Amino acid sequence: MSIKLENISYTYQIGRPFEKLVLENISLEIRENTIVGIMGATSSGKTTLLQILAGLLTVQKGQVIIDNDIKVNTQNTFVNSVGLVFQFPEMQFILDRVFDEIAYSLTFLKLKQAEIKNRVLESMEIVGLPGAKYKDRRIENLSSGEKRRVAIATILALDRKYILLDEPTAALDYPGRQDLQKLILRLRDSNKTVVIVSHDLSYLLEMCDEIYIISKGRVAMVLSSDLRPEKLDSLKTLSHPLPAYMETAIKLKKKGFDLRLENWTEDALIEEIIATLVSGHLAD
Amino acid sequence: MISLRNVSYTYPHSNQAALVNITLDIAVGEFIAVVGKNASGKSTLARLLNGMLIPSSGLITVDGLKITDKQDLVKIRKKVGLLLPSPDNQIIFNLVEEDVAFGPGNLGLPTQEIRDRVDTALRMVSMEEFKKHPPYLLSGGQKQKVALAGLLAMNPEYLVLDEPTVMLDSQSKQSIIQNIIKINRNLKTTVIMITHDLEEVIHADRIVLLDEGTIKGILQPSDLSMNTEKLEKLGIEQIEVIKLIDKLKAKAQGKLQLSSNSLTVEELVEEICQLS
Repeated sequence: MSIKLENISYTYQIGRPFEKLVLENISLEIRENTIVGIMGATSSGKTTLLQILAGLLTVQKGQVIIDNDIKVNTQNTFVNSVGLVFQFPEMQFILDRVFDEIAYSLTFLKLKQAEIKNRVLESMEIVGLPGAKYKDRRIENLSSGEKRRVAIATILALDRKYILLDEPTAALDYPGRQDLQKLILRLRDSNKTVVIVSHDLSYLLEMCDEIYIISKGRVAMVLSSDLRPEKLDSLKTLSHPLPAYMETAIKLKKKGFDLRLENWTEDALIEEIIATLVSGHLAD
Repeated sequence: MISLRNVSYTYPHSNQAALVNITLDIAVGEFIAVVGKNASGKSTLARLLNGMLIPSSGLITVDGLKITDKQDLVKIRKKVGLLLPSPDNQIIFNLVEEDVAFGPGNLGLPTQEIRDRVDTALRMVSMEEFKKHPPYLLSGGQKQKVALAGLLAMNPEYLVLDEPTVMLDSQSKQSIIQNIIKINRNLKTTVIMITHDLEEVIHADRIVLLDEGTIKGILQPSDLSMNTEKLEKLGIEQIEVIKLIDKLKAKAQGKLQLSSNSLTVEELVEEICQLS
């Protein structure tokens, strides 16, 4: 099971003076039960891509295949399996209290009250906002991190299989980012698929199974566990700085340090740098 | 100089003060960073500096002008430019260049001077090619740059920037930060930058740590490595290179003679090379 995008192109303002092609022949696959990152420069087409995945924009060219079923231009079918949390979701809350906000979308599904209550409390539990403490809290009094979690809970309550997060860490502080990361990992553990659009490579590398790098409307590169120096070098030419541990290792190798650079995890690189330094650079 | 004396602020209908007893002097030409987690009072402080909010108690003066004096307040707002984090809330015109021209236009400047200022400001944020574009067709990051250009075109003496890079990619972030540093150093514009990201302010003169509405410390960038624990407690992420140095040292079990003074990868690599 997966979402597949095949040769998707999208143009804004077709036939008008500001016509702009933002996606050109994009093909990618988001496999079930994974965390997928989408990264790209400002205005590279990331948000457009998410809105196509969520069925908010009608596909102009190419096709979107969800769970092996071709679904082109049929917005209603998307809605059942994909949920999108927008950039700054706190700006789109419409009700005052946490429980009511999360329950709002469920009221359109003709569910019984008991079922709505169960779903809301369960989603609140998953995002780390226990019902007993938070259900009657006013949203305006929550921290930004807590508000993001309310927005994610609204999607969870709808029981979406694919959860799309557009810049979920924008303007979020360190504790909020850490909490969100734990939550995203928990979502994968509970059989959800999460797609994250972000500018932050370090943050994505810490949890994603695959990262698609979008540049000028195309998939410029796919990063998975096969990180290699040449791939990382081209990543830099796409103007995405590497995490400090990778950058340091690459620069040390260029300076003549004997580093193999086969395993790119932070722990492995630190270990390798230390091992290389042992002979000459460490005190007795 | 901007001077705050025992400044407190409580929002209407709130029981809890957003800022409590803030005393701080910001010298002309300084680059000050205000860092803290969400809801620490950073944005409230930014809004007080140009009189968008008036203190509940205490005194703020800008070059001797009192923020509580209505006539002084008009002058203060010409001196102190404030950039808000959400660009959609501050872009009002149909074309990028018209929006950037709005501020200088209101200063009653000659048309040519307004044009020059608009072009210079758009160049500073690398948006000159978009000057005839409608802002609603721009991405979030591009709008943020246009909003900053609108502020720069006013040539303010004090620049208060509330999370100016929050929606930008790494390259745009770097270029905006470099421009802010240039404006600070070359034009001697005082910069007060609000952020939760320490990486952006390693070039600041001073870093004010804010938490629960009070100042918990004022550091220089060179002090950062000695304050990891304190920053952690305040919910502020230590910069990547210092975290890496700490991990390298821990892994080497105290045998690695790194100074912890490096703030960038280049400095760290240089230091490691010098150990050989």
